[in-house]
Amino acid sequence: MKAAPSAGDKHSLDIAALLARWLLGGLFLYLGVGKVLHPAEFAKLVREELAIANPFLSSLIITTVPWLEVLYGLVLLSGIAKNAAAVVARWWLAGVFIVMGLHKALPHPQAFLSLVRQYHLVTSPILLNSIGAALPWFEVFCGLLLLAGVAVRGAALNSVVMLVPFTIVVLKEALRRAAVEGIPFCAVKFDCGCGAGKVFICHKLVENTVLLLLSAWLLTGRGWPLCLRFSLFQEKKAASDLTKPAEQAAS
Amino acid sequence: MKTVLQEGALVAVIGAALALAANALSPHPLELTKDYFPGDKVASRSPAVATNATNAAAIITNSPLELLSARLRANGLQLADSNQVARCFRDPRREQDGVIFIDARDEEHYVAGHIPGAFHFDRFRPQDYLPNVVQVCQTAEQMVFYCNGGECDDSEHAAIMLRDSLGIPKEKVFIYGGGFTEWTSNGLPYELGARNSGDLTNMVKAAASAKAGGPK
Repeated sequence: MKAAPSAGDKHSLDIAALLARWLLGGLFLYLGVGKVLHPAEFAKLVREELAIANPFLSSLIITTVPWLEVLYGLVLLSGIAKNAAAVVARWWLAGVFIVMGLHKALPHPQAFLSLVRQYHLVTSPILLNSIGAALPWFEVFCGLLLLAGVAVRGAALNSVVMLVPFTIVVLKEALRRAAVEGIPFCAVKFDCGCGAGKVFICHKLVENTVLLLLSAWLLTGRGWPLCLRFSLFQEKKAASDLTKPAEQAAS
Repeated sequence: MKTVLQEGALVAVIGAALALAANALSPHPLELTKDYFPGDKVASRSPAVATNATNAAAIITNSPLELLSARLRANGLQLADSNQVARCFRDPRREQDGVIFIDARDEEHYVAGHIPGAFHFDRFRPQDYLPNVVQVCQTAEQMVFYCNGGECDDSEHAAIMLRDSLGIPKEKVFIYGGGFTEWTSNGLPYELGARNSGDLTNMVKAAASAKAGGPK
């Protein structure tokens, strides 16, 4: 039988949750304000790297996404509507995985394969090809699970497992490039295989930190509203009962 | 915690199986057993790269061009600079396919612009492109492979693939290190759409470059 968490433990968890929420809020503000201040770079990313050709859709994304990020950052910082914010986090993470996964998988998975190869993770062609073939579609799969709200914590755990090593190899590659080219770390810009083309490394690291924090947030049981089946091994009601106190404690 | 780990493992297993199935069903699947980078083995196992004095010097200087040259030599390939490539382009033998250019980029890039008259060979889909290049590769006296330049190494792997499968003497094979990016930035003409479409661009810049004594 598990011992009930002590008041001290609960207090520590509350503080950790609060700090994580503030950090996420700050990062969303940073990303949103960055796009608002540099609209041309974001427009280029949407039209050229993400290849969104429809002018109405691309304009809609370019004009609304930066402000939505700012707004979401403020919501997280203020602590209002935390359940709704967690659902938005789940959908946002899902959207990123689906879009980036499809962008890697179609129409030229070979391009992604070449990008994976630059990290020299494996030498065997079969292993390299397996990573190049499966990873983009696996991202899409996790994205769909998060979007529908199925096995949310399992999908979030896989998201963390993908993001941590990927962020480390991207960081190592960026450090290598900075040393070889003799340029400041944040001036390093390359296609890391993230699905968004060439990006500045510091910006990429901030983005990955946001994705990691969102995944960790969902892993703790947030984002349960509007789920088809939050947990595969528990009924939805039980899962929500389990997580509701945590939501209340974090508030 | 245990439940989360179990759920994560289940998601990983089902996801991996579905991901491999999705790859198999996609329009351009990756073949798991195929070696898409045949040059890697040669370059990594070749002790010549480390022992050869010239190559060692190249590694010390860390110049990207010298490193590229050393890597190409390790793979039995020759580096061609912009002047050599421009000479090949003006070579009269090009009219009879005695000197040929081979574009190793994907379809999208090729259609958006390629060196006039260049053959297209996407090494990731050799079955679609081999029939167009087999005969001309066997009769050409010189062949220049290129991709985008910079970090792109598709031209090297395409050259190795064709050279080894068709038994082309290595003396005939050149890699244009600067690639299509350098070609266009030098103001040289390029062709849009299909091979020999005649839809040329950059002609005005090319004429100006020639007057100013551009790449010879």
